[in-house]
Amino acid sequence: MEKKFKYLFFMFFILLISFTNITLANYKSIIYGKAKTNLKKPVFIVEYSDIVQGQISSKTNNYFESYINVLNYINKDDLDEIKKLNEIDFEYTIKIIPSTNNFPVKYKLIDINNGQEIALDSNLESEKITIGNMEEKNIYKLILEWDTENNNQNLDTNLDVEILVKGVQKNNG
Amino acid sequence: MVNSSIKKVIIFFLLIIILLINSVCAYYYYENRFTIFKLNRNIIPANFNIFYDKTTPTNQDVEMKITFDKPVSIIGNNYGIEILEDEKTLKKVFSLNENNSILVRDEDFNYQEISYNLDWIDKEPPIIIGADNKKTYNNNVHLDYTDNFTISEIYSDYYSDNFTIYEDSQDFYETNNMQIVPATKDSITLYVLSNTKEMEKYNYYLDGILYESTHEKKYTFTNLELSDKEHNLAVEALDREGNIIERKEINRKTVPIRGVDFDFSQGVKYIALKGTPKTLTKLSACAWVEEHYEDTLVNLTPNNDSPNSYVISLAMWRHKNYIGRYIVKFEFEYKENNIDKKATLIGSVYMPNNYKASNYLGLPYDFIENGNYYVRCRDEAGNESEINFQIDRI
Repeated sequence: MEKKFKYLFFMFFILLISFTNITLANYKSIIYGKAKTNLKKPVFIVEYSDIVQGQISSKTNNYFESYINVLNYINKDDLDEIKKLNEIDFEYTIKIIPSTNNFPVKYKLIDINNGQEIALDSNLESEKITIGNMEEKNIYKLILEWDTENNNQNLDTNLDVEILVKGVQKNNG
Repeated sequence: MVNSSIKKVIIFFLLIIILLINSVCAYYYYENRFTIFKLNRNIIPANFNIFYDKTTPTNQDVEMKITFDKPVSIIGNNYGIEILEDEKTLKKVFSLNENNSILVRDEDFNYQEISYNLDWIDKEPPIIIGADNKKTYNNNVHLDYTDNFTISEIYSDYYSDNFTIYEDSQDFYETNNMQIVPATKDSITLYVLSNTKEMEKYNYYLDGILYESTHEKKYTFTNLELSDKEHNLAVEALDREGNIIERKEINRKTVPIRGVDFDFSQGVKYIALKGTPKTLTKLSACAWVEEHYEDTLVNLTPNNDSPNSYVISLAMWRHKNYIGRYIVKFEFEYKENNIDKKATLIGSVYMPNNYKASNYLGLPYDFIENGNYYVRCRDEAGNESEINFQIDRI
């Protein structure tokens, strides 16, 4: 009876470990000296231009744009080293985070590579986009355009727009 | 023993599976958050000004323009107000008074309510109370007037006839064989006085020949032969359909004018002596009505604004209950080549409208004398009502 209990306890413990697998693997991204590892290397880079500032209006200056790049390699020129290429598939989303929703602008996210507008959900977040291990540079243009259909009579004066790019390794990576 | 070994093997495999599972449960996760835009909008509302093309009481349409210092649009009901091409001007032409508010949004989406209150259009004529048009009364007529705006003028005239023609000029005759100015008169201007709207058009005849058919109540026959021959001047009044309602005739001569001009403006009589001898030593005048000779000396006041010009007070010319021709006589004494000379000019002038032509400014007025009356009432917006009536009391 006692053996059986020990056995069950041991099995429960093993199952517990299997479900709490968070601490059993650690990656360190910097390796000093020469070492060989079989771990796949992730490269997930987000580039963006300087903050665009200005006064927007419905008639003049009713359009502002900025670019965001998501790429899976590091150029030689950038780091003066051998080009690094991503070896892991990633899924990422682009989310627009305005400081206020009470400002008369519409947001458009354009995939420059195919010219298509990317659908945004009600939280201004895109669907998941995959970037693999082939050299890839996804260029996005974010357009802020005056929303002429906004009839709110108490609008805010200022608008800051943040971008959140979340990249997560795909399971089969 | 065997069971124990199997258990160990199972445990070993379980450990291997767990390790394999763990090897894929480690995820890369990147999060990049950055600011990309910092925008603002101008929150100062558009400045505006409202203009009207007429700002005093009027019976005309009024145009309103609202100008802004930046483009705007109207949100909601625009009450017929249009936005001009520059998008900075709103415009509407009102034919009626209007008190409204519009909601205006500028290009920065600042909203403001703009109110306007136009209350000085009046297209309603005043009402004359107390008598009906074209009616005859056998007792006094008491008239009063009402309007939604202020009554600005009430004009009344008495006429023995509703249709009169006259020559508003001066035909002076030299009586002493003296000629102050060798001027001539080769034209006659004929005036029509009619007090009914039925008369639409007038035919002007000279010696039986139709010279002009016009809506104007004035016509000048020109290039007339200078002679003592009397010309027959006639005017026919026509209604809208062209039917002759009335015809009046007078006879006039083309005679030399001896240097006196009358200006009948503003109720003051100006006499200008053209070419007056430099050494005029005396000038006197007297006037009387045609039918009632009374050689009344008229005071002549030099008109400082115009050389050789004198003023005769209107009051001296007025003879109550008389509309007609006044006779005026001027006597001159002057020196010519150091010789004293005298000259007399005598002439006449027709005074058609010097009876009861007054402003009564809204006060009721009693008409008590027999005769034909024309009453016109005007409000400050320019609307008029008029009536003709007769008092015929035995």
